[in-house]
Amino acid sequence: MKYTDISLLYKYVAEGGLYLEVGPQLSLRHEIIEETIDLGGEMEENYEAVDQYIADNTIFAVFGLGTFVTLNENFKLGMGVKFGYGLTDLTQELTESQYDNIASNNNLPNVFPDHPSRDNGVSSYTFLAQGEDIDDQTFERNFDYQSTHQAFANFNIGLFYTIRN
Amino acid sequence: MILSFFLLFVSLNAVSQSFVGLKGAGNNTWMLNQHISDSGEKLDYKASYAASFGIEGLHMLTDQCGVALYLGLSSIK
Repeated sequence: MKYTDISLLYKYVAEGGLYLEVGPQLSLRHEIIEETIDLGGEMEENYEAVDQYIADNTIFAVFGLGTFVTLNENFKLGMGVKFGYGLTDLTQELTESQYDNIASNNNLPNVFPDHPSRDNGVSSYTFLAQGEDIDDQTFERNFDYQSTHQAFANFNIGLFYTIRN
Repeated sequence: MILSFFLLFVSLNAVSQSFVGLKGAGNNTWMLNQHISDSGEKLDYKASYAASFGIEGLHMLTDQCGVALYLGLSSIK
């Protein structure tokens, strides 16, 4: 999934250039969802979907640390690591009829039976979150919805220009 | 949009020390769900990697404390 990210972080810069940063990040999702499903061995399935049940945006809690290196009077190089955890739910709970309607259009091979098809345009994140379970004896279906949270860790590098001293 | 962001940041920070820069990152991304965690060998997490980039403005409120505003593009898989 591709996002436009906007973050506002509080930054503490120690003498010598080491810094800590913390704050929120709002990530706005672009429409298309791209998924790669590992089918085992060397097989992978790639497809795109427009999933109406995936959240349009995510709010992350972000924490980072790193260092600034002064290159000259005007430029600094920043290097650091940043961690983010999605506080908001990526998926949403479906009704049984919604789930059945989506699942009935499943055209993929049975190697991944819970996986949606390209035709119905729903990502596997939505399916997996519903937690469908069928009792082996009674064939009774139960759903146990669990929220889905995104997380990231990155190594970042930036070149900064001093606007005014 | 990025140019607007840059000009706004510059105009807001005309009197104290500020920085503006271009940032790039390599991301390790995850989708976390309890059903995947509980499914054992049947289904497991697979880390994904993606790049991101953007522009960041840093305005120092004091010698050591500041606020950083970032606008960028990223992927999470």
